[in-house]
Amino acid sequence: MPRVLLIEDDPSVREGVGLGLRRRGHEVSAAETGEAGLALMGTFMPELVLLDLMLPGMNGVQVCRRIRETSQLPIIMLTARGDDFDIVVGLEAGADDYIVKPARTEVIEARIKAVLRRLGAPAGSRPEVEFHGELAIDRAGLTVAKNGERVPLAPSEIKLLLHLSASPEQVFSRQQLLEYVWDHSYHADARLVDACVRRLRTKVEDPAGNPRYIQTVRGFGYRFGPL
Amino acid sequence: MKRIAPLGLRTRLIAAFLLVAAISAVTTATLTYQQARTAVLKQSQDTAVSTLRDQMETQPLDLPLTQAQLQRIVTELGKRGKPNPWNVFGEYGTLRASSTSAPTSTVVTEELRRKVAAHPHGAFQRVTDTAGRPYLAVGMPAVWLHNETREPTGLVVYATMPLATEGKTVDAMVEAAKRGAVPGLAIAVIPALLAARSVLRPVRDMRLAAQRLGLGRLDTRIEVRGSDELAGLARTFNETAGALEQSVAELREAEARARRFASDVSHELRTPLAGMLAVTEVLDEDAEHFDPDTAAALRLVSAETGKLAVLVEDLMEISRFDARAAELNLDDVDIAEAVRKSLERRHWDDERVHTDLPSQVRARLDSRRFDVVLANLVGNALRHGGAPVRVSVRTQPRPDGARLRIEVADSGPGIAPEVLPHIFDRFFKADAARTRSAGSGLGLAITLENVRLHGGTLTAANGPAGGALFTLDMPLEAQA
Amino acid sequence: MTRTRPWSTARPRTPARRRTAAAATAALLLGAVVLTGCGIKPTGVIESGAAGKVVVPGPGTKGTVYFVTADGRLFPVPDRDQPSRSAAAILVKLLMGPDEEARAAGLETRLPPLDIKKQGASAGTSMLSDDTVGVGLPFKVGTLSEVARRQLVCTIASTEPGYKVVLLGPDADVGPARCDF
Repeated sequence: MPRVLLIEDDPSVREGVGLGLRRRGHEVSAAETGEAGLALMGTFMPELVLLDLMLPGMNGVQVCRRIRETSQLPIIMLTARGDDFDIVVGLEAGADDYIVKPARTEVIEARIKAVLRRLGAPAGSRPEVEFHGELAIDRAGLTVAKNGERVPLAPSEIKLLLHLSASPEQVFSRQQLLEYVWDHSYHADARLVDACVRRLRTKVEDPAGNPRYIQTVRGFGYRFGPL
Repeated sequence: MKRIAPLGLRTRLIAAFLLVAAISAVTTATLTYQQARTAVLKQSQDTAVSTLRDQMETQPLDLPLTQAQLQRIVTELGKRGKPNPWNVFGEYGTLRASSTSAPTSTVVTEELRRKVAAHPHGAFQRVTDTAGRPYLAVGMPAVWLHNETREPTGLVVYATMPLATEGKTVDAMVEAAKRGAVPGLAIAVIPALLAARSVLRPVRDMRLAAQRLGLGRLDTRIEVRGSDELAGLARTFNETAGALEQSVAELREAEARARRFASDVSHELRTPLAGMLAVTEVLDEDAEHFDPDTAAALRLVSAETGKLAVLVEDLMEISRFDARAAELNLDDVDIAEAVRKSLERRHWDDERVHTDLPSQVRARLDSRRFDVVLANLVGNALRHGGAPVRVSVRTQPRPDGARLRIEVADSGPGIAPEVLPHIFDRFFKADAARTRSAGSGLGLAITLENVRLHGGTLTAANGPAGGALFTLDMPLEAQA
Repeated sequence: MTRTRPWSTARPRTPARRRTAAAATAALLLGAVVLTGCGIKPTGVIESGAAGKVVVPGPGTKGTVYFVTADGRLFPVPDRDQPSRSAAAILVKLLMGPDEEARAAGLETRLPPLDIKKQGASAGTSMLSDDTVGVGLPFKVGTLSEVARRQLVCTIASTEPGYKVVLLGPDADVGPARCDF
């Protein structure tokens, strides 16, 4: 079970979530502040970060950005329902998913599983590396290169790109993407998808001009290409 | 009386100004002209009369006058016309003489003769001849000093003089008056425009300021110039705008405070709950390791904590609606798919719920809120009504935008008439005895607010088959 | 778009009417002023100063006979021959009527004609008092016209200013009277 770094300032939540996850077999390290959490990144080497948005001192969004500077670790935000604006900011900063507090441990567990789930590729049916325009997508290695240069992508971004490029020119609605890629319910917050698309575009698309790879289909959703 | 088209303020002001200028110019010109004319004529008249008198006095008379003498006198006098050349006519008894070809004058009137005869004084009269030319007729009787009294000698001399020169002078004066008045009028337009502008500019400024105020720029103020009525109006405007700005600021401040409160309370309440939930979960799982009483207690705490969490969530939702802090996150969904997914998620996709859904209909709404609404309505229908529950979705085209119409009908006993008006009230429990229900008592209130947020309406009624019927009507494309 | 006046609901419609009436009056006044202005207009007879004083040459004009024109105005005819003629003499001259020269000028007399040979003796004057002259006349004086009486009185009075004249006729005495010039 993956090692989880929990950065949460409230002691009761910290203890409760930590307790629940530990009972399910995770190794959990908890930090009270963003700075402490960042310090633990190096020593604890987590496989996933549960990050509270409302932190004293350095807030969750800043912590997320700092983590993303050096690592493409899965990050799940812990947020209260009323923090609409913060959810968007946090997602844009690089979080892969969000959980609304208070949440049952099984919900948290489900989110963790969803984030870490790899999109399975049927063996042998596809070539190892796919070339779409300037992108080289390695489905087995889960890497993406643009013009030969490796592009660092967060787990949600990779999964989204793989899902879309697996069915080029097919339109997926946000609700469908939430279900397939994030394993959320159909009615989860669609802004999760939008934020991920935005992050993906900044990394993969050309800065000038319209997006070629991840295209918006108004009123329906997103699709890959056509190039 | 048909009304003339309404004129602008500027036009009216300028027209009034010009009218005043015109009246005064014309009046002044006319009066001046009249005075000048009188002076010109008086000059001529006085000169004529005194000249006739003086000249007559130089002529010696021998009474009674003979025709020859009369003729001589008249001829002499006729040479000495002042200011213009004149014709002199003399009358003595029945004798007539004149300095021209005609023996009598057409210009000398009976009235002049009578007056001169009755009262021996010099007299004159202005007459127009048959051709309309003005003439001056002067009558001068000759008196002699006899025994220290002035007695009329019976001789009367008349002089007629055309007033052509005077006429020309007078005409020239009219022309001069006209030439003076018209440019004067033209010049008067300038102060008229200035006066109009000085009145209209503040008016226009005020109108622009009012427009800006109406558009929401509450910091709009007018410069107060002077101390007249317009300045008073400007001052009042500023005061009103200031008061308005202050009220709006206070309201906004209050709103912001309410939102902050809602958000802060939310966080404060939820954070301990998050911890509690996690812990009670653990206790729940391990409950069987404890003795039955402890286990029961643990399970109770766990259940109640869960309900508390739900209640807090619902309270937060309601308070956000009240603080107008609730926002719509709109997305395009396939309506049939959305409904099906809601039911699937709660495992209501069996024979308990029948659906009647259109295919290929896309709606624009907040997916999460829609899910909450549907879950609440179907859940209530299953819980308080009875299976089978029927969910039907229709679209209705309307001129101002297509509508989405959803009906949730249950097969239960229906809603009691005394309950029906209060069904959407907060914390209203239909059955008073049922104090402990599964929900928080806010379910329908939240559902109603969610529907309203989309710009729709939700009504509760008893269906024709007897069960409860909830009808939801909202735009197919919700506006943010 | 109708223009609304803020006070139109409070006050009756008269202000509007009054305003148009005032404007119309002003226009009319203006027009009147303009129209009556121009040109040289005829007038009535206007007296202007005294009459011309002429000098009648001749050696004294004390004695003056007054004849009349057709319209009853007295015309003086000074006595050239004997300026200081007595009242009786001037009376005879008057009663003898206008001479040829006077007649040519249209002068006449309203007194009845006198045959000097027959009635000459019955016409005479006498001093009734210091300043009153009695004029004896052979004809009725009561029936004399005003003009005729004036002729007599002024003629007799011209011999001496300030004289009063009494007409003594067979029927009545008229007077005393002064000459009213």
